[in-house]
Amino acid sequence: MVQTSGDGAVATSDRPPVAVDDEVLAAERRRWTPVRVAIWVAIALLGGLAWVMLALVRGETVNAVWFVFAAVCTYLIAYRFYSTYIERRVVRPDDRRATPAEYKENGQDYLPMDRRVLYGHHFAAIAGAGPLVGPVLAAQMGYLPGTLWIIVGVILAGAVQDYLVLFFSMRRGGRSLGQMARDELGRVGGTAALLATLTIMIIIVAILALVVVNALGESPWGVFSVAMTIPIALFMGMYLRYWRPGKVSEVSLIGFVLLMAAIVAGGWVAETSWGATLFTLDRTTIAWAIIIYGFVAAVLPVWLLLAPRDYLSTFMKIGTIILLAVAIVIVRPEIAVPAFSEFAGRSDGPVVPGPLFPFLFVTIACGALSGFHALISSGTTPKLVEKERQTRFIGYGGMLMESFVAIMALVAALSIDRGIYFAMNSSAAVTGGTIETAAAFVNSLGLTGVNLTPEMLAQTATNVGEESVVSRTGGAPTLAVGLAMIMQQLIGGSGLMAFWYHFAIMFEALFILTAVDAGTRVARFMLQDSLGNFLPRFRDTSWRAGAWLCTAIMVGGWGAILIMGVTDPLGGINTLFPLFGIANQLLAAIALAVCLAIAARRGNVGALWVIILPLAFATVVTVTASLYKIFSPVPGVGYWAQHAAYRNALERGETSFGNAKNVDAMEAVVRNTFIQGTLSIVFLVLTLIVLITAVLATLRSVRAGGRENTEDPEVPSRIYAPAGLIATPAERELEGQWQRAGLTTSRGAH
Amino acid sequence: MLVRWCRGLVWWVQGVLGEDAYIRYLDHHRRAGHPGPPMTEREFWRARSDRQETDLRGRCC
Repeated sequence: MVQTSGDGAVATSDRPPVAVDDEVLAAERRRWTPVRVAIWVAIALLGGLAWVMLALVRGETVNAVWFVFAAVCTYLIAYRFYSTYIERRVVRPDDRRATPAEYKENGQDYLPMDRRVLYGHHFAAIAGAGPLVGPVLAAQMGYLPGTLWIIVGVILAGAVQDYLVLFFSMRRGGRSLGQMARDELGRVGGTAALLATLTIMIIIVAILALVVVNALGESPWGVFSVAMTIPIALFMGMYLRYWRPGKVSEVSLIGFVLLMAAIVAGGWVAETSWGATLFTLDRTTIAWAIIIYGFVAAVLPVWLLLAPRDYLSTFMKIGTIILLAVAIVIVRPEIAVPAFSEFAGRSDGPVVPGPLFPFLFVTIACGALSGFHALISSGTTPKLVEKERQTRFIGYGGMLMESFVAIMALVAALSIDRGIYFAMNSSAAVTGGTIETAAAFVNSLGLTGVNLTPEMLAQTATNVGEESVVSRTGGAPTLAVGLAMIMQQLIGGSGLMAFWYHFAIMFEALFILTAVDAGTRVARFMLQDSLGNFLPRFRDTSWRAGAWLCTAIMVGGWGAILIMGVTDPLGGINTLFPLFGIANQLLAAIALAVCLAIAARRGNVGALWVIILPLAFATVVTVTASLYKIFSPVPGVGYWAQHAAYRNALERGETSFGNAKNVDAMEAVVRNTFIQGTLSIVFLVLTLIVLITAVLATLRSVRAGGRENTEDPEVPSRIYAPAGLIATPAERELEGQWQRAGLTTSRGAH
Repeated sequence: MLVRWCRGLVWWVQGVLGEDAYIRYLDHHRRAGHPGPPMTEREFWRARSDRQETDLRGRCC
C-alpha cells in the first residue's frame, strides 16, 4: 500500500482509523458461520485421513499426495489456531503503532512494502539449499520420522522462532539478533552469542560448499553448466549497470534463458573429448576453485556478481518450487520406502551415523527449525513490514512455506529406488566407488525389498548423463535424481531426464554459491565490527586492506573445513553434516533464548511455554547430539572416540585402519576428528553461556513481574493495510475507507 | 479476470525481485517533501548498488 497524500501536515484524526478495532477482530475470529465450520471440518478430516494413510496404514506403497495433504492441512490448522494464540498471548501486535518502515522511512532500506510482496521477498531470503538437503539424508530412517519432525517441528518451533524474532526486531527498529542479545543478555551473553554466530556461519558456509563439490566432482556436465553461471551473472551485472538500469525482471528472464542454454550446452560439451578432459575435475580441485571464487566474489563490487546472481536465484527458486509442487500433485509418485527403515532403531546408518534421537533432529534443520533464519528475520525483513499484525503472515507463514519445500524434497528423495538411494548416499569408503562393489555393499545391508544390481546403477547414471552415481553424497544429487524422475513424467519423458537432473544440480548450486558469497560478506562485516572494538579502523567498511584481510580470514576458515571435508577418508559430508545441523539448531536455541528474555520482560509469564517448549527441545537435542559427538565411545558417532582409535592405531605402527588405507589417510582422520571434536566443544560451551545468561535474565524479569522494555519509543501510525494474505470483511471495509479517501492506491496501480 | 490475475502475478514477481524500487523511491520522495529534485533512474540504481556494498541483504542456507 502506498500513501499518496503528499501533505505531511494532515492530522491522524483527518484520516480513517489506522487499525481495525480489537473487539471487532475478536468477534470476527469467534464468528463460526456454518460455511466456516464446514471448511475447517473438511480440512481437519482431510489432514487426519492423510496422517492415517502415512502413519497407520501399512501397504506396499504410499502415495506421495498424502504427504502434501498431511502437510498443507496441518499448516492451515496451525496457522489459523496456534499462530493466532501466539499473536494474542505473546506477541500482542498493535496496528496503531507505526512500524520502523513507516517512522524511519528513507525510501531505501526502510520502506513499507506490500505484505504479499514482502512474503515472497522474505521467503526467497530464508529458503535455500538447506531444506533440500537435510530431508534427503534423513530419508535413511524411513519416511515417517522425517515427515513428522518437518511438520510438527515447524509449527511448534521453526515458525514460532521466525515469527517472534521478526516481531521483536521490528519493535526495535530492525536491530540484529546480535544487538538484541547484547541488550537482553548483557556483555557476556552477547559476546558468546556473537562468537557462536560467527563460528556457526563458517561451518554452515563450508558444508554448503561441500554439498556443491560433491555434486560436481567428476561431472563435466555439471562443472560446465555451473561455471557458466559466472559469465552469465557478469553479463547481467553489466546489463543492469550500464545498459538498462533497473530492468530487473527483463534481465532475469534473459539470464534464465542463458542458464537453460548452459544446461543444454553442458550435455554437448561433456560428450566432446576436449570438454570431458577440461571439465572433469576431481573434488579437491573443485574445492580450491570454490575457495578462490568465494574470495574474489566477496571482494568484487556487489553489482557485478552477487546482485545479478541473487536475482537469478530468486527467479529460479520461486519458479522451480511451484513447478515441483505441481509435478508432485499431478504425477503422484508411489513411495515404496517403509515408514520406519531398518536404520530407525540403530545407530550405524551409512548415510548419517547415530541414533534417531537426537540425530534426526539435527539432520533436518532447515525446514523444521533453522537458527539461521533469525539472522534474516532480524535486520532485513523487519525494516520493510508495513503493519505490526502482518508479522504473523510473513514470519510464521513464511516458515511454513519453507517447511513445505522440505516436504517436497523428502518426497522427491523417497520416490527413487531404495537401493540406489543407499548406493548414492553412502561414502566411497564403504561402497568402494564402483557399481559392482556398491551393489554388493547395499545388498549386504539386509534391507527388505532391496535387490540392487550393478546394471541398475549403470542405467541410472546413463539416464542422468553422469559417469557414475555411486557415492554421490551430500543430498543434492539424490534430490536431483528424484526430481528428474518426477519431472520427466510431467514434461519430456525419459529423454529429458538428464536435462532435469542437471537443472536440479544447477539450481541447488546457484542457491549455494549465492549463500557462500553472501555468507562470507556478512561474516566479514561481523568480524570487522568485532575487531573494531579493539582497532577502531576496522569499523570503516570502505577501508580496503581491512575488508580484504577480514574476507581472507573468513574464507580461510570455511575453506579449511571444506578441504578437510573433501579429503576426509571417512567420507566428509557424512561426518560433517551433523555438525551443520547442530550448529544451525544451536543458533536457533540462541535466538529462542533471546526471545524468551524479551518476552519475559513484557511480563506475560503464563504464555512463555510457547517459547520454552521449542527452546527446551532444541537445547536437549543439540546438547545431546553434541555430547554424543564429544563423548560417544562408538567411533562412527563420537569424534574423539574416532580420534583416539586412529591415533592408537598409528602409535601401534599400523599402516591401515578402518576405512583409511594408508598412514597419510590415518593421519588425516586424526587431524579432522580433532578439529570436528574441538568445534563441537566450542559450540556447546558458547551456547550454554548464552542459555544460562538468558535464563537468568528471564528469571529476573519474572520475579519483578516484567521489566522496562528495550523497544524503540512508540510512534503513532498513519497508514493502514490488512494483516493476512486475504483481508477479513472488517479489514476490507477499512481498506475501502482509505481508498475512498484517496489515501491509498490499489495494488498494481503503480 | 485472467488478465487481472496475470497482471497481479507480474506485479508480484517484479515486487519480489525489487524492480519497483525506483517507483517506490519517487513516491517516497514526493510524500516526504524532500527539497530538490529526486535522483534520476540511472542515479538511483547506481546509488542503490553502491549502498548494497555495505548493507547486505542476508541469504540463508
